[in-house]
Amino acid sequence: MQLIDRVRKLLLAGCAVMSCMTPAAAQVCTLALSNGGTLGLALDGTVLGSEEIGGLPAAVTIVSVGTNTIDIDAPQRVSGPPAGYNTGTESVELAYQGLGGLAAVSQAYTTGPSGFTVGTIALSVLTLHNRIVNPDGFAPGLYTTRTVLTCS
Amino acid sequence: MRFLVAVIFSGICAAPAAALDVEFNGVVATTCTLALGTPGTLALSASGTILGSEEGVAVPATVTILSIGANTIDVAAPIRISADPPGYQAGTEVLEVSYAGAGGLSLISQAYTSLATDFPASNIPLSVLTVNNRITNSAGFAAGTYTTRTVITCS
Repeated sequence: MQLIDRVRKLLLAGCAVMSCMTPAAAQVCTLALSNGGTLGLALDGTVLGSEEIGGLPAAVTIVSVGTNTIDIDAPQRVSGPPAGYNTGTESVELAYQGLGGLAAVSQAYTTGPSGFTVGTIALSVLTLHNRIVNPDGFAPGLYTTRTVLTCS
Repeated sequence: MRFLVAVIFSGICAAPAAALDVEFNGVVATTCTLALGTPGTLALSASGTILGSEEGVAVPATVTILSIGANTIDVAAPIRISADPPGYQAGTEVLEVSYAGAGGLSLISQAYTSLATDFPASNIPLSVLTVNNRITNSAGFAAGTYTTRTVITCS
């Protein structure tokens, strides 16, 4: 009888701990790629970007419980430069816009890292744009840019 | 035991940083486009022997060029496509073209010539080529309309 009572007390204590820890245990931040982006060439030949004809933005879904920080690295070109391409005059830029619980999030085109704080939100979409600006134009070939998002 | 439970839950609480790579891909194809910006006009020189786009109130033509990859711009010899006005002495006329580039074509310059010419165009953004035409005729000009044409080809 004493043993049963002791086990019951331990379970209750355990439940108390669980209850106490529930908010912290639910600290969640997930990032998922909905779709990658594509780059299209501007009519004047100086911009290869996801907002040009033939381009598409990337979409990332975010779920956050608790307070989290989304860090977005400076975008970079990860493909090798095509023959004849002048890399010295290019700049790689990123812009993004949130929807749903991220509706207040907006970043104009920038070449630097950026980020924002997010609280508890249901599954929401962050739309990202990348572009390469080069006043010297582009050489034929494949161009790939990468932006790294981190949630912590 | 309580400590053990707390430790276990603390382990669950630690939210690991999540990272995601987002990539964008684009393929730039070899291309060359030509577009007429403005056509030119011709005006008579003070001496009456030149009808050209650099005389008086006349204006040159402009052509925009976007080139990606190794291309060649061919500029054909200019021709007069309008009929001879009555009394005009066509036998002594000479048609000439000159042009100069801007932007990615800033190194391109051609003095007046009656011959076909060409120049290479590699990777350049949308740039302007300014084209002049003129008819030189030591016998002068008769009243009427004169139209010249220069064909530009990119390949």
